[in-house]
Amino acid sequence: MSTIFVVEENEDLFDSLPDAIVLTIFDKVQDCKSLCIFSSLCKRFHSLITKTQNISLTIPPQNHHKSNSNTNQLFRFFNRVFLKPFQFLLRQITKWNPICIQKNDGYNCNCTFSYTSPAEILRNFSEIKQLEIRLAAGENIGLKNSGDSLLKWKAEFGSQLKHCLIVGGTSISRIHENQGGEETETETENVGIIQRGDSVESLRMTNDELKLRIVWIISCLIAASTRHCLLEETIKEKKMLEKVVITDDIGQGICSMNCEQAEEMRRNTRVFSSNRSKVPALKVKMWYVPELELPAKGCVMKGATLVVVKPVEEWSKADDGRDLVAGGFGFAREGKEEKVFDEVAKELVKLKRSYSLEMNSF
Amino acid sequence: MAEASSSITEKFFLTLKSSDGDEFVLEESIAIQSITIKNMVEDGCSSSVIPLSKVDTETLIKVIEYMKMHSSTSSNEEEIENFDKKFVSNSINTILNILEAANFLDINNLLELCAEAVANRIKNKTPEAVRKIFNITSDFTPEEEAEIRNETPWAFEGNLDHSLD
Repeated sequence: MSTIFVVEENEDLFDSLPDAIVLTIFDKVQDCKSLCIFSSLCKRFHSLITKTQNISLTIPPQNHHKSNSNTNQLFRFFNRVFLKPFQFLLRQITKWNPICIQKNDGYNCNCTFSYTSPAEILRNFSEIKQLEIRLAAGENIGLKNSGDSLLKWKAEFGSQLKHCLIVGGTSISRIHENQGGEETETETENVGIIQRGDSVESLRMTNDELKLRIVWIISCLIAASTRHCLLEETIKEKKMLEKVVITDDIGQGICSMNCEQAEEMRRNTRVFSSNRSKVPALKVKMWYVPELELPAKGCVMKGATLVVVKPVEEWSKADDGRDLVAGGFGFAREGKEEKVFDEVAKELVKLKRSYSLEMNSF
Repeated sequence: MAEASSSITEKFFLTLKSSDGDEFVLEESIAIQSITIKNMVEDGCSSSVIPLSKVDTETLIKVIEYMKMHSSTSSNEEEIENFDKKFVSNSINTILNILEAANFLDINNLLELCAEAVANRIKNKTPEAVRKIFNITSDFTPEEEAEIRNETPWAFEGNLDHSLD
């Protein structure tokens, strides 16, 4: 009686596997699209799929006719409120942080029609515990340019923003291999290369630089709160969620919620305006150096900036934002590049001088 | 038994018997990666042959290979990594048999490894490809199947892999 030969030509290979194993496999597959395909294969899969706990989902950029008007509306709002005084910067943010703006189109909470609503896509999965959503970058946006990835953010939400960490710079370049890596190339010498001490006057941020940073902060916050809003329905429906993460193809921003934060969001009444959640009144703490050398990584970042954003009431006396920085970004697919940003954050937070600003709710 | 396992120098051996009747002698310290076997040893059932009625010879050989490589006394991380990579390139039939055995024997690492291997083979495949790989016959009526596909039409669009690897 040999089991080796019992496997016949046309036997369903899954038949002998207990449900628990099939579910383990589904949890490893993660990919929502593949799971939906399996669901159409046989009745057993169709019912088991609904019990999958670990799901990842890629939302393609939506080329729906509605999207344009949304973008325009947003731009108009944006323009009126923030950007009128410095029009030229508008081009900067489009260049810097396209995903914030582009992603707003189509991801409207109120949209009931389209497959881009994650709640709609996830309707059949009733027992999700871990959810990862990736916003796919459209090819037409040209997101793959290396310059675009010089800004990274990480935000956590409950019913509203808990905190947001932003690290960015205006350019990054490699150090030429020198002995000890102490010296950099001559062309940058007049900029005043300071690694750690921050007593020199040239470290002060100019007005234009400050404006650019504010645009960064606002772009990131709008992107984050749009993603937050995207989750509303899903959070309300999936009561077993333990962790939700929304990230994007280019690893620019990551927006996450844990179990308690999701519960908080369920309990509280909606705080959404149009297609994003309302950003509460904020206190912002910012560290900056014109040029930061990272010998260990072999690169130099210009205009290196670290920003910690929290609602005014979330700041406490003991908390200076350093704990958040220490946590790093923790991107799921952590590459070399993310480590550079973690490193930049760790260096900047050592600076004695930081800038504080407050922002009204928007 | 408690006395025996506290001894450092002495090696203990277990005899595992496959469903085909073949017997394999294995060091106890290696075999107890299987929680099922470990429990048997602790319950004092290991003096005689341990019958594994759900595991055939071919599968048991693979499982023993795995346990030997992963037992603490041998091999560095890189070796283990290369071994695992090669291990999951076994045929899908073999992997599924091992998966089942790992479940029965309660070897969590092996279960995870094989589940991941199966998952990787069926991710992003067309429905037809998944059907062929696993010989899954539909028990839906064509109408029912069409209806299910209609619930998530986006899942069936875009680049899907037709290959049967």
